[in-house]
Formats: sequence, C-alpha cells, structure tokens
Amino acid sequence: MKIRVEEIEQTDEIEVIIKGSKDNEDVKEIYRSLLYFESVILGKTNDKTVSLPLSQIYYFDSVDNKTFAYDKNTVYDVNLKLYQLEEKLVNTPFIRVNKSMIVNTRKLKTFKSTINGRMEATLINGEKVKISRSYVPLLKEKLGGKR
Amino acid sequence: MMKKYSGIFLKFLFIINIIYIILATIVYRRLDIRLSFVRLEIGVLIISLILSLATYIMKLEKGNSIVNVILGYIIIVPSLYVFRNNFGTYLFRSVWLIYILMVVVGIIYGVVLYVLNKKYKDEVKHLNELLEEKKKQE
Repeated sequence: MKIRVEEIEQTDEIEVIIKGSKDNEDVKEIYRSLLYFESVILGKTNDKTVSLPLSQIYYFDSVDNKTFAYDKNTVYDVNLKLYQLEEKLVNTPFIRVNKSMIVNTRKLKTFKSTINGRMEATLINGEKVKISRSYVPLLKEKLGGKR
Repeated sequence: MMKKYSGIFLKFLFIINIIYIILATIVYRRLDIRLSFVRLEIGVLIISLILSLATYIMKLEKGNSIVNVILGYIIIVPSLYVFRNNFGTYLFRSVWLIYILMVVVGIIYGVVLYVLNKKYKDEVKHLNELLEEKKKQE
C-alpha cells in the first residue's frame, strides 16, 4: 500500500482519494476508518446544539427513553433512538454491548469477567460498561475475531 | 424482568419435577409408600420459585458480584427444608442429613460457579487479545 500526502497550501479542506478495488477488504477498512473521522452526531448540552465528532464519543446509552452521548467529560442529549444510532453507526467502530448501550470499541481498554459470570469492559477514561453475553459474538467480530 | 425470571423458573420446574418423580418412585419401590401428588407438586413449585430467584439474584448485573453469589446460596437453603418436608423420614432418616445436603448443594454451587467463571475467563482473554491486536494495527 502506498501512502502519499500532497501538500496544498492555504486550504482547510482535506481530500482523501482511495485508489483500489471496491471489494478489497483493506479498501473497505480504510473507508470505514475515514467515515468514522468524518461523521458527526448532533447533541444538546446546556440548551446548545453541538456537532460531536464520532471519534470523541465514548459511548451512547439510553435512560427512560432518552439517549445520551458521552465524551471524556460531557454528557450530550441525542435526538435519536438507540436502534437508529445502531443503524447509522453500522460501518464505524461503535457496537451495541447491552440492551441500553452502544460503545466505541476504540475507547475500550480491557475486558474483565466477574465471579457470577458477568462481563464488563473498562474504557480508557476509567468508566466501566456491562457487556451482555448475547452481544459478545458481534463484539468479537468487530474486533477482528471470528464469531 | 418477569420474562427472564419466568424463563429460569420453567427450566427449574421441569428439572425438579423429573427429580421428584424419580425420588417418589424410589420411595414407592423401596418402602411401598405412595406420597401425595398435590403435596409433592406444591413442593416442586416452591423449590422451583426459590431456585429461580437464587439464579436470578446470582446473575444480577446490579450490585457487587460476590455479594450476589453469597445471597444466591443463602436463598437456596430454605428449598432444602421444603425438600425434607416433602420426603420426611423416607429419605431423611437422620436429622443431620439436611446439613450434609446443604454442604453438597454448596459444593455443586461452587463447581457450577467455577466452570462458568473459567469459561468466561477464556472468552475475556480472547477479547483482550483481539483488542491488543487492534491497537497494534492502529
């Protein structure tokens, strides 16, 4: 794979062209990664609507039919249902880990199992997230393993 | 919550019913005593309710996992008294047999937890390896 950066002065816009077969797995992976950096979600905090880059979001969770997005320090109110987010984020590192939570796999630090057979993941900001057994096969797939 | 509890309850109801049929048959064959069906079936229902509650508490996501596991065992204990009440002296000829049964149930509970834990630890290890690989690639 050749990586080339063409320098253009006096521009803020970045253009990325991927040359290769559309069916190539590497091309797909690069496309997914770029999509992740490019995509934003609208969220509300302190009555202000802000656009949140996906790469900054740690996880989404749903409480009392309301969806929230969490970055390192702030909580944002998101105007989408969890299943809508799940559909929207299908080609990104985000994955559903339990009934009420979608996690950014790039923000995961470690996995741990508890004595009663539960699984939890620690995020890079130290927060702990419960992982349901039923979502483990999909999580494995997302991390590059087999189901 | 109720859906999950009902699922566990039905499984226990099936298993305990089979165990009771076997034990009632043994009592009938050995001592030629017919135990009351209604009495036994009430026992099966109570024991199934207790065991499914214990399993539900043990698997609960909320709270401390060790406390949940201990609570799970404590909840199981009354079901042994129901069991003794159902079969009485036909199975429990000595008073201390109930304590032995408690220990046996404790050991089975421990073994189940150990097997469950080992299985999940392997899964967690695999997930951590995948995560490490992914980080290296990035």
